[in-house]
Amino acid sequence: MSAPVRRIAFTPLESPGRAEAVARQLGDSVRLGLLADGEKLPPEPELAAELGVAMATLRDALRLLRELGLVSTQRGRGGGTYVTAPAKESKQRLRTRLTQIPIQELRDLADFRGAIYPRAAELATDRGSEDNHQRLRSLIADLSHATELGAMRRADGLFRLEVAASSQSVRLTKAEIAVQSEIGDLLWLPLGDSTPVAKNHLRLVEAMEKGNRDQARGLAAERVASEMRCLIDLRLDLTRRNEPEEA
Amino acid sequence: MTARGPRPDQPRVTPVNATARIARIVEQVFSSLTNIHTTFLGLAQSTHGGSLSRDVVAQVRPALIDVLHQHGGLLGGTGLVLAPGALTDAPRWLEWWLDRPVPLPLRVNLHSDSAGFFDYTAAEWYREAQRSGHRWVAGPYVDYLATNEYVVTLTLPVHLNGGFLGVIGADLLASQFEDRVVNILARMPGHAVLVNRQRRVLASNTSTWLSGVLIDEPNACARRTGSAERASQYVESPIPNLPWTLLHATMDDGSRLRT
Repeated sequence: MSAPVRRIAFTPLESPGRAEAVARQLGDSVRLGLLADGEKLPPEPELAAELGVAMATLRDALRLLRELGLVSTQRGRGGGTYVTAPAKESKQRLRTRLTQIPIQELRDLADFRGAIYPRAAELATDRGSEDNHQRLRSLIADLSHATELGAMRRADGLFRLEVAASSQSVRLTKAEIAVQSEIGDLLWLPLGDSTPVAKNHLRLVEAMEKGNRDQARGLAAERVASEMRCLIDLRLDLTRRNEPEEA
Repeated sequence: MTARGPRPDQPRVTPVNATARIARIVEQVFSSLTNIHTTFLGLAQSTHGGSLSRDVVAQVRPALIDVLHQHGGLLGGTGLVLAPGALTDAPRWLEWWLDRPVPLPLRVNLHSDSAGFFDYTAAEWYREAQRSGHRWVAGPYVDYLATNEYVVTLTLPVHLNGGFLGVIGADLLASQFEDRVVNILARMPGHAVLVNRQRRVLASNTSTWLSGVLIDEPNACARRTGSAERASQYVESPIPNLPWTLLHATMDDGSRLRT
């Protein structure tokens, strides 16, 4: 066995990296709104058991989340750990954040999402149940009725997660959660109108209901490509407008 | 929705101007490598009978770390990569430093009999610098053997008394380089795309051509992607002293800027 492989084999299971992984997973869920603002987390022993980690690891993870302001802990009777959803970033802040991401990074994210989401849609076509289809349709309705960007983004994000979850693949779902938590807020920045997105989502659900996996895959791929292109266009446009002439 | 072209109050960049500026970004790094080259040759010549050891090579370290700091985040790493047999105390060796908050030496597996062996003599940036006897520009490519980054590698061969000692090199982080070039291309009217020797995109001012994509024949590709009716023919301008080309096409009217 080569040295690096041995190193992996003997990584202590309760290492600091594990607490960070737990914090990342819980933090992603808070950021995506899967855990709602003000929601009380289960008692620590229960949560640790559910996550399959030691109490010490969970406590480390919660400490990290407190530092990030994503949970708060109250002592005493009625105490416990509560979710504190991060305040929505202003459009201006989001634009600034976008200009700080290298274009190549956006392209790479598009490549990665293009591997996850279309494959999830394809598997979801084979494996999705009527329940899944119904939930997807109701999320499309939420998306269409949403009047402000935050609500659109949330309905859209949940739609994608439902597609990923319908694939029955935990890894694909986790990857979709991670990618959305990284870039989800930015995806809606160049948009403003939910109509074309809702239309594409509806066609996807119809393809899934008909069992047309190739079409489902194609629609999902088209969706990812078009929104990443919009985002890169906006990024280029901001560069054009903001970049001062060098001396 | 998106503005097509630079803001009116900003001076426009012509292709000639753009190619010179792109070349300058790279020349500044090559100039740092030339300084390392001089330092290293000085050290090598002062050893008795040219017997080089790791200790001698290590004396270049401060100069390498200076180079990392001089280029404001553009470089992923820089260093010396020694030809097999060039050192008396190691069959293969590299003195390569990564740009981190505290500079970090690159650790790779140099044992030719093990599975994770990093055979740098097979890498384009090493092989071609040795073969041509001149500086070489490789990439962009995903460096899965050493750093896991998307990079462009610049190398200079090192010779002493007619013998090949290895190469001096630097990795440009493709994302950082792209952003610097985009700042130039963004002030050009119409599509402007920088491609390498294989016609792989390094940077462009349009989401039609993203970095990493191959565009063998831009006009045919433009037709295929449906942008042909909007883009006029692409004009090619070589980047001075580099194996790269700037493709440039204005949209709509005939106001194309010729070199």
